[in-house]
Amino acid sequence: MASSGSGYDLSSSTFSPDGRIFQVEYAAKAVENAGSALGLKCRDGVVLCVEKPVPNKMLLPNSSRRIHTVDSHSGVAITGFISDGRQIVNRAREEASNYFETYGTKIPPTVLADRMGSYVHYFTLHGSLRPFGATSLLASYDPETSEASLHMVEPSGVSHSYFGCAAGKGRQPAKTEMEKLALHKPAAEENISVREGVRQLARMVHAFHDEGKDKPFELEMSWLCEESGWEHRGVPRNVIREAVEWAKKDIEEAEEGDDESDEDDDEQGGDME
Amino acid sequence: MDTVFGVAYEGGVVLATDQTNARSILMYQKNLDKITQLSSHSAMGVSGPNSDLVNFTEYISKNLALYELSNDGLKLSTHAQANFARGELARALRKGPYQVNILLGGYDESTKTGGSLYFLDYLASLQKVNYGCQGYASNFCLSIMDREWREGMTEEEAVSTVENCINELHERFLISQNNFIIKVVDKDGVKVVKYGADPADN
Repeated sequence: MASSGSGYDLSSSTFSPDGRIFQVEYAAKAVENAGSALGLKCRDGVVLCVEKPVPNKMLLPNSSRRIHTVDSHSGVAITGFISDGRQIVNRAREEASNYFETYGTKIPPTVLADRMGSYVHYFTLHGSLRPFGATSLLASYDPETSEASLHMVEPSGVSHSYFGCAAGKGRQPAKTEMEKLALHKPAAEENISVREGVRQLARMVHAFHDEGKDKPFELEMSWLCEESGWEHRGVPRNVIREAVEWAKKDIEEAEEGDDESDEDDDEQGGDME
Repeated sequence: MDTVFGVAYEGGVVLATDQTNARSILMYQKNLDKITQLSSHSAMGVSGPNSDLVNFTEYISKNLALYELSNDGLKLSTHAQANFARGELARALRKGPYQVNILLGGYDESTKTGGSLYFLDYLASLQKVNYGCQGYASNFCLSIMDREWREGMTEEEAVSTVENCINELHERFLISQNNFIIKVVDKDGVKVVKYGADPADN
């Protein structure tokens, strides 16, 4: 899968003959190997979720933050090189603060996403700088239009607005699961609520976690909805707990369902547990 | 010497200024339009030397246009525009101040009453108001506005209040200001209601 850069991958200011900038692609690889960050734009708000692998048993629980508040109405979840992500978050905070000082209004989500994208992009075209090895998921609310939105800014500097997005290790299965959810039905009421979104994200993280291969993890979740007063807040712990309980039960029931259909099959009959 | 009024009503803002362009004892022009359009749904009535008037209003309106071009057509609310203008006044204040006193009026769909009016002065103060006057006119006209303004006013009532103020000035103000121009900012944008002398007549 890895194609040889063969000399065109030494600097981010060099194109390869087939029009790629390898350094930017390698930066994206750094993100692909990190803990998953997921986001859902539900009918009544946005939810962000990060799977934090706990590398060391000596670590104090909940001590390392991956989701940061950038302004009262905006939050960013980072994955990849966490230190790189911190730089992006700090810049986003400055942009939001400057915007408010100039215009007396909260920075609109699209403007903030653009500014973050431009900042990240800047580091992909100067030879003496390296690209950010981090992807940011921006959940933001625009008080002028009363609409919440979800953006994702990648190491290349591109940013898009999403109904559901995922970055990091579990992004492929997450994207598949997200496509099954009611997120962008034409009739707004048919789409899932933020509460349902919290459950689904908890379910996804637990479902994709491989007990044998992956390290134990902590779940960090935040939301932006009416219940949070349209401010970026951490999802209350009891809500997360309830969501995780539901998620674990739902995964078990799904596996039992598979077990039952397995008993019908003569060939299969393996342990699904 | 310039007179600037503004009255906010349910669904928009009325702005009015006199049309005199003068310095010391000499009157250069009697048909100047001192209400400049800032964006599709906002305008500023400005008093002060013509140089600063033009410089400042063009600077602000072009920067607002640049914002729309840079941000995919996103528009700034009247509140944001007023804050931006005040920030520029503040920045220049201790370098080379703009000697302008402004009433900035605009229409935003997202606000409750639609119209909003902001008072900015040459020292970079900023205050949202229901009605206001700049210059000597305030001595004569604020009391009329105090008495006549009410919440939920219509455009007709607001224009009538402005005309009452103009009549009062004609009656009692020492300086003769024959011509006034009145504009309205509402959901359809900025339009001229009445003028004393056609600004286009040059």
